[in-house]
Amino acid sequence: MEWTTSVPLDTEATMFFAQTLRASVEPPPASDLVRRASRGDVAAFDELVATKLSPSLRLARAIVDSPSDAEDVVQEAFVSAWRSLPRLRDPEKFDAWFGRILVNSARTHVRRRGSVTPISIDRRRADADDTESEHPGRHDPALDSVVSSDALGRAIDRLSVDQRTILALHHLEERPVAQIATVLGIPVGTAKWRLHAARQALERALEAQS
Amino acid sequence: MTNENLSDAQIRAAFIARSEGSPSHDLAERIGAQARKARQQPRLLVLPGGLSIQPERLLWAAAISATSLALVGGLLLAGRQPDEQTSVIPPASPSQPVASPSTPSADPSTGPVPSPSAQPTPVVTNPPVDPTLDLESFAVTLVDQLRVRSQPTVAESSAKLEPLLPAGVKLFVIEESVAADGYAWYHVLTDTAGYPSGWVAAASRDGEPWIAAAPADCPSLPLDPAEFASLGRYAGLACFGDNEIELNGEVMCQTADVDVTISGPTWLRSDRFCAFYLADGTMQIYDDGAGLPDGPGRNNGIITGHFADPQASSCVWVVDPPAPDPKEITTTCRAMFVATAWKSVPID
Repeated sequence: MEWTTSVPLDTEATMFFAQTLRASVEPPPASDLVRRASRGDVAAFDELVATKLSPSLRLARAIVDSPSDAEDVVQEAFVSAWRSLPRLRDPEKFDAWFGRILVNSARTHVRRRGSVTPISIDRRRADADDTESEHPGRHDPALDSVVSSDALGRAIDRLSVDQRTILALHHLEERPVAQIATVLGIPVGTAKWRLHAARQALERALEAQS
Repeated sequence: MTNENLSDAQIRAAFIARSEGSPSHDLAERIGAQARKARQQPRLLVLPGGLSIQPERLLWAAAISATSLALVGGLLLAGRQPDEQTSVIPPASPSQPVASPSTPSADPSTGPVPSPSAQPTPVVTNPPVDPTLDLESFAVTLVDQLRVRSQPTVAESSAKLEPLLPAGVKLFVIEESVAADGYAWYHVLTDTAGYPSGWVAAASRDGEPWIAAAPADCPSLPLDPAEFASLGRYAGLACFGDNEIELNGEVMCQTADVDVTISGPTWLRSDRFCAFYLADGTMQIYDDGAGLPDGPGRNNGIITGHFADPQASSCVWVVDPPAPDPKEITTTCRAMFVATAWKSVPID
């Protein structure tokens, strides 16, 4: 299969050959897959799913409570996107458009089901406490790091689904605020404020544990 | 850890830890298989003034407008679209009727477009309510592009919900039928993610059925984990109503911080979580004085309980709006399994 490239044919020969070589091994750009999928090409849609599956699942896992729920969310989002693809006017905006579908799917899933955060005795925390009681003067930064990471994970569990979503988009996906606003369908100023509020909520949840 | 020490890098690391792992090997295949079953929505063209229209409708409208402006409205309001968006075959004769019994609309709208001629306005009579769809029973859509509305009417106050339902979608009837605007309406929940819940018309005004009863395949009692799992979200309610039934299997309860969206019944607790173990996961059940055992391990036994608990009527939405329809909330609670007795049966 031959992919089109953005390099004009009248450029220097070396660049042309380099680009042609790269184009012959690189997958088609996502926008091309989106365009073909929107015309009903299921093979193109399969390729698109393969390209986007891992990052989508990562975001879904950050928002919902269990890996199996995350897979349900991702599946729902992709099928919903497939149905609506013909109505996506600009294929270049697929990522933001699909991000919105995915996030909405995750939020709906959590709200329908009700998220559950079991409170259990943390073995590592208990082990750490034992160690410190035996050696009260000793401070092990590595041990601190383990405990802190775990505490932070539990604090994230205690956030609302909307707070988890915006923090995941910012810290995990590393999306700029303007893009977060697009995905969530809110003004940039509102996104900034919600991000700030979510960060504060996370800090409060962390404090509540200590 | 103090707040001063909370860095962006730590938050990122915590999210990465939360979201790590590979997808199931067949997830992409499952998505592909579902996509192959699902129909794509028609493409829209944006006309001057921001009006969106499906291209096929535009072509049909252009062809027909030369002879009858009134028919254009009829087509836009009542025509069902072909499945493929890119192949458009204009009608052989622009003057042929656009709304015939073979091309009915599955989208109850504001009714027929008034004819410019002096024809008497047809009187809309409400059809007899379809007696085959019982309350809290299943139905299935028979046609593509079935409209779901927020109210049982075609008036503007009734929002048109998206997306339209394709044929084969399972519905759960949650209110008695209402006759209005010439249609028999049913309030339904969809058990398929991505489709709206609301009111659907059971048939066209001509009598073409758009939905039909689809009785649940109810398992025999007592239920084991596989049978309990097969019930899905509403089949327990449809099959057993408020009858006391028995589950045989493993259960575990634990103290938990449950992020509830609905509150009301005494058994719907936010500080305790009880799970019934299925073959590949768990299903939440609710302890109403049954004395279900707390963890740490699983406990095998016989659980007696029921769906359709009377307290379900007290369920209310307790998180941010928009709240679902109150009837949908009540039905969600009625579909919960409430345990009333527990008998431990140690595994040999």
